Amino acid sequence: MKPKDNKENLSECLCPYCSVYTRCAKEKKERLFCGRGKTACAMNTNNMCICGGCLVYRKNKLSGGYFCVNELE
Amino acid sequence: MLKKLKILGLCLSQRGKESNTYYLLKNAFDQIKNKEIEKEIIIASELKLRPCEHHYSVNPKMCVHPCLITQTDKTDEMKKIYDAILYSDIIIFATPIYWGSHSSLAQKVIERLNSLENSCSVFKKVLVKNKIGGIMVLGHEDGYQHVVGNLMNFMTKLGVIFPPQAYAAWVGESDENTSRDRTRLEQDQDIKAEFNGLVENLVNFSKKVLFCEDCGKKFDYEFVSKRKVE
Repeated sequence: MKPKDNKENLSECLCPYCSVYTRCAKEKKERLFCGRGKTACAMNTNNMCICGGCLVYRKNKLSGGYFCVNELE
Repeated sequence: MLKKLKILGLCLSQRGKESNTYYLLKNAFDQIKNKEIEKEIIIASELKLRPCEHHYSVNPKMCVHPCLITQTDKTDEMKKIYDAILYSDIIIFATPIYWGSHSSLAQKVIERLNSLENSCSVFKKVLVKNKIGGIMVLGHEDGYQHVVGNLMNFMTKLGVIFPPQAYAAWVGESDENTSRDRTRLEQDQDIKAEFNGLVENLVNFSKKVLFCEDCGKKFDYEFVSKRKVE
């Protein structure tokens, strides 16, 4: 299930703390990629994604990761 | 009519084509003269393979197939190994022994293959089934039974089926003269017979098990563990 783009999920979102996250995404105030969709920025995908450690991920029973570059189906 | 069998050899030595592992694997494959058998050897050291990032340990549901590295890094070539395994009937892991264990390259490939195994154990979807497995191990000193045990442990969880006597192994004299090993392997017909025999065993077993020539039916079996996943 695609997470909702709401305050609760935004407060729990780990995207800005992830090593994949870039300054570009920060400047555009992008986050909660699993709920909002992919980024317009280039991301550090050679770094390790931490989506699976996020409460939003577990509450919504997601699988996979790198939702900043992979659209959640 | 018998389906064309595909046999895959994964050479997991860091020395690639120069290795004794490749020499014995290639020699055994060259003995297969049946044109109905498709052969492929993948030399893992020639591929660009990023190490597994252990997403499984963050959350088992992050370890998916295609692997997240495969999805995000187009330069990573693990897909060649995934696809070859999924499209083969017989899979041979061929590794040297280094400090009593399989090669670090073999370990890297095994860890990346976790995504295929995880598909069954976590997502309850069987990707690897109806495949026959075999193992080739060689080293200059001892340790082959331990290495075979480790590889069998992984391969059975991956989903392959083993025939009796599913491995061939050779170890040298346990001295410092590794440079003599190749000559020994080239000249000793008994060693070659052991490795060639494994391939013959795997092909014969596959023909018996995977395809019923008399009834025309194809073997199809899968098992999914009932172990709970959150």
